[in-house]
Amino acid sequence: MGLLKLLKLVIKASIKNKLRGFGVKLTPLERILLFNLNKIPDRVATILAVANIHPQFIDPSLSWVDLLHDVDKNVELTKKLYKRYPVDSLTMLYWGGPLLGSGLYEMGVPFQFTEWNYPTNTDNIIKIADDMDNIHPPEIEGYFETSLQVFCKVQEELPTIMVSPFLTSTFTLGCFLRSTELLLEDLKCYQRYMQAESEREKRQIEDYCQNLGSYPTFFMDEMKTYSELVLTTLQRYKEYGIDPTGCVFWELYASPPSLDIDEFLTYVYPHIYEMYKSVKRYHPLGITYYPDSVERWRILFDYAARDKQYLPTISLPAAITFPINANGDLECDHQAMIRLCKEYDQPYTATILPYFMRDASKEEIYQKVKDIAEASVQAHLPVLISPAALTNDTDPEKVDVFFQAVCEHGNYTLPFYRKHTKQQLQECPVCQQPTEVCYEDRKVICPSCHYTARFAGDEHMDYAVIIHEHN
Amino acid sequence: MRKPFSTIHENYKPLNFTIEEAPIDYQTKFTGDTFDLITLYEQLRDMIIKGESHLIQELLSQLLKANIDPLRILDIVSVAMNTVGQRFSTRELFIADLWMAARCVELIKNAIEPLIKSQGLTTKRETIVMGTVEGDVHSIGPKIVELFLEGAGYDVINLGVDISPDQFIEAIQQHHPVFIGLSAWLDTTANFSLRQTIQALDPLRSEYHFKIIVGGPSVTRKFAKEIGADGYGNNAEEAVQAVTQLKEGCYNWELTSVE
Repeated sequence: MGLLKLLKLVIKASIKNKLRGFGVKLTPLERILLFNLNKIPDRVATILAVANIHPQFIDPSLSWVDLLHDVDKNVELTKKLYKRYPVDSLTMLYWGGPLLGSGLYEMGVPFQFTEWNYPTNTDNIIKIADDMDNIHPPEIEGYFETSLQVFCKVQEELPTIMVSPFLTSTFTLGCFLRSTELLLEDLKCYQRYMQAESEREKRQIEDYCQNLGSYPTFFMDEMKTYSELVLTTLQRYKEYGIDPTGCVFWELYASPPSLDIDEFLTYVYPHIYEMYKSVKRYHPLGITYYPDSVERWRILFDYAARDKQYLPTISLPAAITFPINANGDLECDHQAMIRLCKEYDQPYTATILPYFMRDASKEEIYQKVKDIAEASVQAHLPVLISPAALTNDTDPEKVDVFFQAVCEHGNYTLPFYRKHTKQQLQECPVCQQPTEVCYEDRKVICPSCHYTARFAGDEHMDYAVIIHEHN
Repeated sequence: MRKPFSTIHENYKPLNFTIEEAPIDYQTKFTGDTFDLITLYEQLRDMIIKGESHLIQELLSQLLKANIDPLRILDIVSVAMNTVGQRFSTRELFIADLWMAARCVELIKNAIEPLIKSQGLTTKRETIVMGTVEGDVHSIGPKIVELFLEGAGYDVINLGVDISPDQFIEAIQQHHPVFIGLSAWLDTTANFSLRQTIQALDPLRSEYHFKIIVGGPSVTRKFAKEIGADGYGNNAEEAVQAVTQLKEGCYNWELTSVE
């Protein structure tokens, strides 16, 4: 998608969005584009990370091994998924997973392939600093090539949805090449070295690093290399004829609890931001970051506001950062997050964990998604919602319920309907007769003309937002 | 496979200082020949908490030169790791800090293990064998749990990652642990390997009398119960809590987890 085409699409989506009152509908691609630009689409957008879904969830006869080299099977499976669920965006299209899709195998990282498990790396390849000399970007071959082929075909066959490249970002790529533990140790050694108060301590750190086969400033050098590798990998997408618009950079391990947010902003973010600047023209959907609390989220937003720079981030609450409770659900107050994002004019991405999708009842899932969707509508904030992954033993009907809740409760109102005072609710907008307002069911009914409307809000609020109405 | 590092002598009395004591001025008190032993202990403790692995070696050699009882050093490690665990749970410390603390402990263990062996000290601490199940190479979570359990006074044998049921069985036969800790990060390994490992370990329960606790991001309480685990921890603190309650025979599936 060239910039001109993108611009045309965005303008078209914006105009169509304003004409919704006349029955004009947005396509999934238009919806996600508006979300991407921090504009309110017609409803809360949805995304599925395909490779996070067990293939057996869709077709019990398939295994991961079956899908490693077979482009058509990957595409068919994705199409089946799309046919069943009204999703707006798909990412991580190759069932080999984000690691193989980022070319890690072709870079030399060893993997384990089994029928019952995601392809998993079994070792790291940068044991000492000298190993950096042997690191090379992935060539278009093997699993990496298969993932590119899958991408091309899905983009071609599903043109009305956003299909975006998914790449492992700088720090996380380092975790897979060097190992999380050693990369964190490199960072700490660098931090100590820069903060050392005496030459003696600096020498001690140098000796310590030497014993590990590195040197105190190795962290900075390796991060630079990892960023270059990410950019070259993205370049490979382009070489293969893939449009990288809306690409996602997956930064999993730089968030709490791995690192404090100050450390992230001081030692990691500058590298990511440099990388981001190089790809800005492709309108990346974001570089994922996972703050572990509303407070840390605020620090992140304040940082961006202070430096007046756009924060290229989809902030995701996730299992690795937010504690998950015993029911497999995040201990994350989505409503509080939505309020904070509204305050800073940032879009929000809400994740529903696979363990919750697997273990919770249909009613619990519906309620959870409904609450998020209604809060999004009420706050009038662009929100993307996603079941992060789906296991083979998840009931597919629970996923139906997920999308049903988004479609029923995630419809943004046109500006005309945005706010209704309590008095306005009590008067029918069609026949101006008194209505019956039921706060328990959040429904307004006009006994005279049978106008009905569903709204978000409760009796303690100054106003309510009509989210669906029927004459 | 890592070996247990600490052994407690029957007559050993723990040190009577706590972490809340006054802060230490390293530069003035650490003077070489005429050092204050308690100050050195405190320094060691603080170095572990701060993860100053590049400074540990020097301090350790000072302590060993002074013929310090190695078991006292282990006590310092225990106090320090306990504090590291507490500070991690309140997010004052992060995994990067924990890893550096673990490096400190590793260096200490390497230095004092030969001394403990040569002095023929006998172990009185209970052993926990733990590891990440087959097909899963995520190590950080179990590492944190290991630190918490060591801080709680157990000898922890962390077998590492991608551990097959046979490797767990071998470790049980060798170390006679009171608890087995199984971790699974991926939903696939939780569903397949974790289940399979528990099934494989079940026949050994009557002979070796161990209990199994499970955890990891993809494991829920309902799932843990369903696959036959004895206890569940959805974080490191809960893992310690589960171990303690199982030991005291008061573990309750409904009450132990944080809601």
